[in-house]
Amino acid sequence: MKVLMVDKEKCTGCHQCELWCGTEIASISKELATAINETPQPVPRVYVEGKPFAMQCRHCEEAPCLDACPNGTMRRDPETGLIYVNEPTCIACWMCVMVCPFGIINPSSSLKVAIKCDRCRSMGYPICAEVCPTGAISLVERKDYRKKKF
Amino acid sequence: MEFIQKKTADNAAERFLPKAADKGTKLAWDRFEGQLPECGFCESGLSCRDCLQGPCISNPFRDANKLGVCGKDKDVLAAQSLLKLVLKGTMATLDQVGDFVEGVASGGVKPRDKAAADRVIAEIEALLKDGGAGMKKAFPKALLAAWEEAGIVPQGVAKDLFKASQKTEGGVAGVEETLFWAFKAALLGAFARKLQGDLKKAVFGAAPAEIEVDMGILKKDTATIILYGRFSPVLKVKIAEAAAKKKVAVMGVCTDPLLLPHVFAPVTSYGSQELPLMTGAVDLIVVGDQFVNPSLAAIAAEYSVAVVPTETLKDQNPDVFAKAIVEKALNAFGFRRSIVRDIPDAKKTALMGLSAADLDMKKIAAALAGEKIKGIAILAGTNNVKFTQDLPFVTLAQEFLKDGVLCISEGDAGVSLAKYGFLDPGQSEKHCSQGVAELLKTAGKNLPAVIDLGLAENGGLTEFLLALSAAAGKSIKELPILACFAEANRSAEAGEALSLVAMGVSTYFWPALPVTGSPKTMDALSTLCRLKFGAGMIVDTNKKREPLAKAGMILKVFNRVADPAAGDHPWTDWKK
Amino acid sequence: MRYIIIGGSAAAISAVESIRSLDRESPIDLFSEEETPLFSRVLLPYYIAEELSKPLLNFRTADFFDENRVTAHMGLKVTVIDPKTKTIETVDKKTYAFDKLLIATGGKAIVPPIPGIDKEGISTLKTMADAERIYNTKGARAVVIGAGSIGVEACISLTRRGIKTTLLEQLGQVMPTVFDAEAAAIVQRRIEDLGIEVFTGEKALKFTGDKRVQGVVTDNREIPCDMVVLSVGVRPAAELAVRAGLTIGDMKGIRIDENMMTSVQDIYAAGDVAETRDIARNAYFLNAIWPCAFEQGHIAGLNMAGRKTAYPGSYRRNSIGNFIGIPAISMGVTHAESCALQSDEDEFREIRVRTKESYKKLVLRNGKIIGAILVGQTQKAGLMSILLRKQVNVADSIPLLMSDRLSFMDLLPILRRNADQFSEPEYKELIDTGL
Repeated sequence: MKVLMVDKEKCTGCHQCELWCGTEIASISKELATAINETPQPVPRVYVEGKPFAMQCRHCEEAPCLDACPNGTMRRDPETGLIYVNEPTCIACWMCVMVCPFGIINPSSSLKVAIKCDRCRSMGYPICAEVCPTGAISLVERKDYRKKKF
Repeated sequence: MEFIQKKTADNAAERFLPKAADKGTKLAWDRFEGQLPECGFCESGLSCRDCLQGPCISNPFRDANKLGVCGKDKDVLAAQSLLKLVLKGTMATLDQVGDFVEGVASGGVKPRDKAAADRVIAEIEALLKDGGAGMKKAFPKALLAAWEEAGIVPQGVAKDLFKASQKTEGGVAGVEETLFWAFKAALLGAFARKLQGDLKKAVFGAAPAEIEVDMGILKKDTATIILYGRFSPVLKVKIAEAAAKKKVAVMGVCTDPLLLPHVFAPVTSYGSQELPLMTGAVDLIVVGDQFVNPSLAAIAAEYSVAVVPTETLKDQNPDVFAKAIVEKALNAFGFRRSIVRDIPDAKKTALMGLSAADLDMKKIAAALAGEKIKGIAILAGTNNVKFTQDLPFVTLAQEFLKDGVLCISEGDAGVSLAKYGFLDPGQSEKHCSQGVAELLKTAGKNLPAVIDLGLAENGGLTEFLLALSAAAGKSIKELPILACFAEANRSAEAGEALSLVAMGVSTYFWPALPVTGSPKTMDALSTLCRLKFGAGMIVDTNKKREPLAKAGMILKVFNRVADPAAGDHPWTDWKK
Repeated sequence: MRYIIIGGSAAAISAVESIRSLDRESPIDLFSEEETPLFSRVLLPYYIAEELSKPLLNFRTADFFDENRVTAHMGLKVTVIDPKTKTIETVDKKTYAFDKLLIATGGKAIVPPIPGIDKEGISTLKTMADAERIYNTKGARAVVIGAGSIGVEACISLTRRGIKTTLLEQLGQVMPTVFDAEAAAIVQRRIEDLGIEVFTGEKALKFTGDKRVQGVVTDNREIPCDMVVLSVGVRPAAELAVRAGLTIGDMKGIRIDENMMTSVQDIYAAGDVAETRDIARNAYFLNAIWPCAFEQGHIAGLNMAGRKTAYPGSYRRNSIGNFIGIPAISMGVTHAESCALQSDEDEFREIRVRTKESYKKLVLRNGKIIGAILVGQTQKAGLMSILLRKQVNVADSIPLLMSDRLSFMDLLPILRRNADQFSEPEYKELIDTGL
C-alpha cells in the first residue's frame, strides 16, 4: 500500500501543506482568499508541529481507530486500504481520538465530527504532496518490515 | 497544482514560445509554473520577514500560530504587506526623478525652457525635503483638506518614506493608521511623477507622436540597440544622438518612448520582454534595473547579444558612455551577421504621448455631463504572467469602448493596447460606440480609440484628472472615472493605485493586493477610503474571474447598476 | 472448521471479520439474544434522545451477515455449552456442534435490590428492549441512578427530550470509575449547566408509588419522579461458562489467556464477559468498554482461524465526546491508590496541570504511564494511549508529555529506545526518518 512519507532533508516546515489542505480539502469555498476567512475555521488534516515534518494519518495496517469506533463510522476502503471517516454517521464520541497513536485525528467541536486525513480519496493525488514546494512529501510503497509471513 | 492558461494574446510573442521550448530556453512562463504553488501566506499578506525572529506567518487554520513573534496579527501583517509594496514603489519613482534631475543639473542636456526647468528642479528638491509648497497648489482645496484630515499630505522622504517604514519595525499602529502611511508614501510618489512630467516638458517639450510599435519594427540589416527599463533620460538622449550619427537603430522596451525629438519605439510590452532577443535582430541591449528581467542576460548570451547595464556603482560620463555603447553595438552587429533573423510580421501604428494639453477637456466634461459617454476608464499597469498577456487590457478596452466608456491608457498598458491597434488613429472607429467615436472626433486631433497619456513618470494622469475636474467644475470623486490595473505586477503600480484612490478615483487592481488575509484591511480599503476620499480600492479575491467577467463587473458600475461589491460613489445614483 | 459465536455485539462481529480475513469458507453460526441485529449499545442514549433512529444505530450494514456468510440466529438464547461433546444447545432444544466456540455474551445490567424495584417506569439501559421501553415511557421527571458513563449519557439524553432529570450517585463524585475528583467536578458542573440536578454521595433507599413509580427516597431526600433509569453497573453474563465449568476470575468474568482461549481448549471468550490481563493494573481485570471488546474479538477471531496472535492486554478507556460540551478522555488507572498489586518497590507518580479551560493528568508506575485524564484539550490523548499500551519508560519525558505542544514526532526518541516494542511498520517508517 502506498503511504505518504516525508523526506526530512527537504521539509522546511513552511506549512504550505497545512494551508492548501485547509483550503482545497477542509474549506467549503475551496479558494484561498475566501477559505482563510471562513467560519467555522477549516481544519487541515496534515500537521506541521514543532519539527520540519508533515504528519498525516498513517492508514495503519492494524488500525486502533477502526476497533474503537462504536458505529462503523471509521471505515477502510476495501480497494485502496485507506481509512476514512464517514462523516454523516459520526457521533463525535472521540473514541478514535482516544486511541490514535499519532494524534492526527482532530476532535472538532465546531464541526461535530472527527476530522482525519483520508489521503485525498476523492482527488487524483494527495494535495499536500502536490503543493510541497520542495517535493518533500511523496507517495511511497510501504516497506514490509515483517520478517516472516504467515 | 495545475495552471493551464493561454500564455499570451500577442501573436508575435506566441510565435516564439514553441521555438523557446525546442531550444530549451526558459522564459518567464516556465519559471512561473515551476514556482507553483506560490506561498499562500505571502500571497494573502500573512507573512513577515521584517526581523530575524521570523520568518513569521499568521496561519489561518491553526490557532497556535496566528500572531508573529513580536505580536503582529493578521490585520497588521496584511496592511504592512501593502505598505512595504508602496514604499518600494515610491522609491522606484523617486529614483527615476532623481536620475532626471541629476542629468539636467549636471548640464548634460540643454533644456528648452531653462527657467522652467530650474523652477521645477527646485520644486522637486523641496518636495523631497519637506513636501514643498508647489505641488500642494496644484490640487483643489477640498482634496488637500481631505488629505490633511487623514494626515497623508506628503512631507518629504524623511516622513513619507523613512517614518512610514518604521511601522514595519514595530509600534502599535493599527490597520487604519498603517494604511494611511501607505497612502502618504503613495502621494509622495504621485507628486514626484507630476513634477517629473513638468520637468520633461521644460527640458524636452511634450507632444504626441505617431510611431510604429511591436516586433515587426526590428530591422534585418541594421545594427540595433534596445533600451530596456528606466534609466537617466539624459543618457537615453545621448545614446540616440550617438546612434543617429552611426545609423544605428535604437528602440525600447518598458522605457519612455518619447524624449522629443527622439523616439524609442516600443518593440513589445513587459510580459514578452525576453522575446525580441530571440528574433536575432538585436545586437545590444542597454538595461536599467526597474522593469528589467534578470533573465535577459542569459537569453542575450544565447543569441550573442551584448548587454550593457547602466545602474552601476561607478558613475559614467553620459557622452562617453553613449558613444562606447554605440561602438559596441556596431561591433556586435559585425560579429552577429551570420545569426539568422526571425522577425515576425507584426507592426502597428500608435499615437502615443498625448496629454491634457492636446485634449479639449471642456468637450470631454460636456460629454460626461450630457451622458454622451457613461464614464472614463483608465487602463494602467504592465503585464503579469498570472494572466494571459494583454488579454485583460484588450478585453476591457473592447468592452468599455463598445459600451460608451472613454478609455485612457497609461504606462505599459498603452504599449499593450498599441500592439492591437487601439492607439491607431486610423482604426479608431472600429471599436467605439457612437458616443465615444463622436467625442474622439471633437476632443482632439486625430485621436485613436484609446487615448494614451504615456508612462506614469510623465505625470500625465494626474494632469488629466485635475484638468478634467477644473473643466467640469466638479471634484474628481464626483466624476464617473474608474481606474483598472488589469494585469499589474510592479510595486510602483500598487503605489500609483493608492494615489489614484486618494485623489478620488476608485481603482480595480489585479492580481488582488496582498491583503486578502485580513478582512479588516480589505474593508478599510473599501469603506474607510470611500469615507475619506470618495473612492475605494477594489480587491477582487476571485482568482478565476475571466477578463470578460472583469469587464462586466466594471461596466455594471459605469451603467449605474447597483452592485454591493462596488459600493457607492458620489457619482452614482443607482437605477436598475 | 465450524465456528460458533455466542453474542452479536462488538466482540462477536469483530471476531467474524477477522475469521473471515483468514478463512472465507468455513461456516460460522452466530447466536444472539437480541432481536435487533448489529446495533451499537453505545448509541442507545442517542436513540433515547430522539437524535438517531433505529437504522442509524447500526455499526455494520444490514447485509453484514450475508456478505460474510454468517448464519445469524437472532433472538435465540443459548442454554448449554457442552465442552466434552463440543456442542451447544439453544432454548428451543436444538443442538449445534462446533470446532471453535467464541463466548461473547457481554454483560448484564445490574438490577440493585432496592425496595420497589419492580414498579412500572423503572428500567436499566443495556438492551434494545430497554432503550425502547425508556423511549416509550411517557414521563416528565426522571431520576437516573448511577453516574457512570451510561448514567451521564442517559440523563443528558432525557434532558434533550425535555424531561427534567436528576442524577443520583452513591459514591462521592460522578463517573467514579472513569475520572478523578478534579475531572469529575468539571464534568459535574457541565452536567448541571445543562439543567440536570446532581446528588453525589447519596444512595437510593426505596422507590415510592403504587403500580407506577412516583418517587425515589435517598439518604437525604425524596425525589419525585415518574421514571427511573438504573445504570449502577454491569456484570459479566458468564452463566453459560460457569455451568460449563470454565475458569472464572475474580471479577466474575471468564478467564482467558493471551490468545483469548478459556480454560477449555477451542473455547474462546472476548468482550464484556471476558477477564484479561489489564496492562495498567498489571493484574487480571474486566474492562467493559467497546474498544476493548472490539479488539478482543479481533484477536480471538485470528486465533480461532489459526493465526496465533497474542493480546497485549486491555486497559480501560472512556471518552465523553460532545455530550457535555467539553471533550473528556480518561484511560487506565487514574488514582495511584486504586491500582491493584501495590508492591513496596513500586514508585507512583501523579502529575496534574489544571487551567481554566483544561485539565491534564498522568499517572505513572515506575516511570511507565498507567493512566491519563485529558479534559478540554484531547487531541493528543492517543499518544498517552499508545505509551500506556506499550508500557515503555517515559520518566524523563514528563514535561514534554504534559506540554500543550506535544506531537507524535517528539516521542521518537522514546520509540527508538524501545524499538522492539514499536515494530509495526507505521512506527518503523517514522523512526527511520532519523528525526
